[in-house]
Amino acid sequence: MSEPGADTGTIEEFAASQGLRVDDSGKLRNGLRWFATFMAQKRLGAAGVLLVFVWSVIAVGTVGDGGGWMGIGRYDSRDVFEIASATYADDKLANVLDGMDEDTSDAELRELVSDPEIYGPAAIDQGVAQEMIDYALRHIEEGTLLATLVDEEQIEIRDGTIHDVDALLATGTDNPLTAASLQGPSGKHWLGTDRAGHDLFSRVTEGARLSLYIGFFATLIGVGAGTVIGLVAGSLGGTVDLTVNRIMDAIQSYPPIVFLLLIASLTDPSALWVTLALSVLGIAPTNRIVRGSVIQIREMPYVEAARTIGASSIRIMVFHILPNLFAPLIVIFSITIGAFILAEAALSFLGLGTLDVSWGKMIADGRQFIVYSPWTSLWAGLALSSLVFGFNVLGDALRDVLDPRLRGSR
Amino acid sequence: MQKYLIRRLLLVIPTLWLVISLLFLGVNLLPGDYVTIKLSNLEASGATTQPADIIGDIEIERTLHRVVAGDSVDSLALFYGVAPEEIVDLNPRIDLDSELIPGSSIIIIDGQLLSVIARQERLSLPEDVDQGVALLIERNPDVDFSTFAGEPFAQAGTTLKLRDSTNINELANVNRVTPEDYLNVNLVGTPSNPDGELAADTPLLPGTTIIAPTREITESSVKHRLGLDKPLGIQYVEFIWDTIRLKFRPSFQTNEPSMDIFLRTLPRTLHLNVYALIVAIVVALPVGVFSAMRQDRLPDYLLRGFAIFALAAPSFWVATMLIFVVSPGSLFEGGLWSIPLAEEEARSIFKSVPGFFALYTIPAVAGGIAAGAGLMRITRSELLEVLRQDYVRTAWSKGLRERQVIRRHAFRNALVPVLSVFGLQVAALVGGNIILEVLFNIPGVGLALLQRIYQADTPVIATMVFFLALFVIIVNIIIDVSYALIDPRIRYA
Repeated sequence: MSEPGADTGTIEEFAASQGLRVDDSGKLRNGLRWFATFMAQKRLGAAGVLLVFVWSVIAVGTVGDGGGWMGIGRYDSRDVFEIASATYADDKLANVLDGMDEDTSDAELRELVSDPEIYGPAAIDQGVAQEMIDYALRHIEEGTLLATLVDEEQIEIRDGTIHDVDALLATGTDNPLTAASLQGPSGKHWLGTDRAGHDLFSRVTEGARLSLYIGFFATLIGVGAGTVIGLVAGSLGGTVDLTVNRIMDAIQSYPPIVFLLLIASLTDPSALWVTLALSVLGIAPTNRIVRGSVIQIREMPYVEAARTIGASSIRIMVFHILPNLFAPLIVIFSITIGAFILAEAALSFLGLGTLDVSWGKMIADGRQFIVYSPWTSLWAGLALSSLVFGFNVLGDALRDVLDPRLRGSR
Repeated sequence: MQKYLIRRLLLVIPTLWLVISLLFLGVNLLPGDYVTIKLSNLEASGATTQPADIIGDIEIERTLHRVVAGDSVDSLALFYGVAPEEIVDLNPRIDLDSELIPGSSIIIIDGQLLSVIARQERLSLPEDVDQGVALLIERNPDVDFSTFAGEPFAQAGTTLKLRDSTNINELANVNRVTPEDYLNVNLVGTPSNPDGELAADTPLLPGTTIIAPTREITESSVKHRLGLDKPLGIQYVEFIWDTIRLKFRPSFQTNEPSMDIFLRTLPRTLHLNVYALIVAIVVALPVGVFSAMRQDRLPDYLLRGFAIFALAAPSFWVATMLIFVVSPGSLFEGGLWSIPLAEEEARSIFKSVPGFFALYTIPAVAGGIAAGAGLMRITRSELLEVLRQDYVRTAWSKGLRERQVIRRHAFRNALVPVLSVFGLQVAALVGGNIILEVLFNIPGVGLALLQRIYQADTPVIATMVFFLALFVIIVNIIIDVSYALIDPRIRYA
């Protein structure tokens, strides 16, 4: 095919010219063997692989229907009194019911709940009132009004129990509505329910999806961009390198959470923006490590050799330097995902994250009611910690095996 | 070494310039700005035009509620946050069960809330009612103010002094117009100013009335007042120049110097972070050493497992769970952390040592645990490394006791990398503990920053972020230099 001694390009071309065959299955077999050794020798790392795998399966299983894994554990939360937006429900509900008569017809009822006046002076803000009206109207339409007035002091709730109006106005577990929406673990709701009566098992599994989604893509973008920048800066050196380093120093000077807060507060609360904001944070550390490796590698004899035979600098970067960065990059990747999942949870906790179900938000929600029930915060936090734990130990094990020089870099 | 130091310090200059530029970019070019928020707030409060100004004394009247259909004594009591009996006491004609006649008036307070007076009489900017209340109290030392639902109010029948004296500048500020607007409409023949000579800083005594410019507040007027109507390039140059001189612009929101806000909040952040770092060190170093000495035995496994888990658990969750275990009620009404600790003087807790520890211990432990876990891991692995060295083996073979070998030979040498990790954590904690400040209502830099970010109060955000970034830069330099000082093997070219 070509004369011996000429630049034969890829190894496949060279093999073909010599009448040889590159055995792909050999690569695969070696890879599997490597993985088996890794799992056997690094027990913590194996635990990490397992945790990440389990959470990934859970996350993939929740795609689509929203809640629960493959429909398992997805419970209709309506049997828990159906309290829409239970945050406000307690006293607002009593206000609505206060205005009802025993023999109020549906039409009158509708009129009653539509009339902002009935909230009297206690109508705190229009948004809340409107929500409550919508809620009541929906139930009148569906014929599932959750409660009817027995007399002036008592209300019958749909499950047949009768409560005092005063009790519904009370705060805390004295209030039957709060008590009912915040249930502990049971056979019906494996992990209990949150303040709105949502099943926590479905919420926790759904939270995995967002965490993994944002963690993975933010890391992919951030580490990708950091690699390209570090590769170019490290290979070219000189002014480019100096400039890039200054910019990276500047970005790294911001405390990460401050940087996130700035970006998150100035943009829409969407998964896309959170991902992009996080990925910016991934660029600088990746760049630092990649650049360090590149500076070492570019002095290697084989790079020298490639340069001598006239390979372009892009070719050297892509075919000679990049493959050698594979090991540190894998390590950076798994460690960064864990850190980003934590950062996303922190943002959600502060109320600056996405609008989807998120573990950080669940912890914040549960915190408000932690006096009455710790379950919401507990499960969300445990799920979050276990996933991050998985990525951390996986990253540590990979680092020990692939690139011990990186030890202590975090 | 000196050469390295100088080079290192010189490189700070471009980094700082970039930090400032990025900051400018961040607060200016991204969508969502102060003017929009401000205008919609003003619109909501109906304060887009200015009525006439009153300078002088005011007679206090009773605060009445005009009854509408559906009101009852109970509902009014609920709405105003008073006991129904109090309302009945003030209104002899009604009792607890009587029906209220729509259109009639009910006395709610036997006087007026100072916040209402401050707002009506324009003693301060509309969003700074607290400041106005403080002014009223300060200017009327001999009046006894009672409180109503937690707010001070003045008794009906008394006369309050609104201002000792004022001038056009002050009025213009409070009314969100420029002094020129005032001077333009008060050129000739105002009641107390017949000869038409008025300057921006002429003292105006109580009893003076002047014509208020009823100019509408528009986007352009707000922008003009804040200097946001200049071209971006000029704003950028001014921003850099201001930052270099550390003369930051005052807050958009309160007109308070940004630097004052930063310095006021800084001590709280320092308390929290220093405490958290102490927790981290106290936990990490002994435990790390212990773990290394018992390598691969059960305590080592347990402690390492704990450290890895502590690194994975977010501090805000750890804090939440700690609260649940220790004192579930303290985040809520009446609890230790339920009030934003803005009024420091009002918080006697700051004055006492037990109060300090009660306030900061849980947040500091939550913040310190993760940092401590990282430190512990690095202490352990470095110590193990050092314990394998020849000179340690020599020490053992000399017959030294374990304590001496660890303390004198191994630990000191293992400390160098630990110090660098510690430095990184100092830098990281200041930013990371923002979330703890929010969680525990500690009015530090973090909480203030988050609040200002919500309000898009650009100058204050810029000031705080600048100092946080500066802090990180300085810490990094200190790490590098101290590294070289501690470990003579390291030489910087």
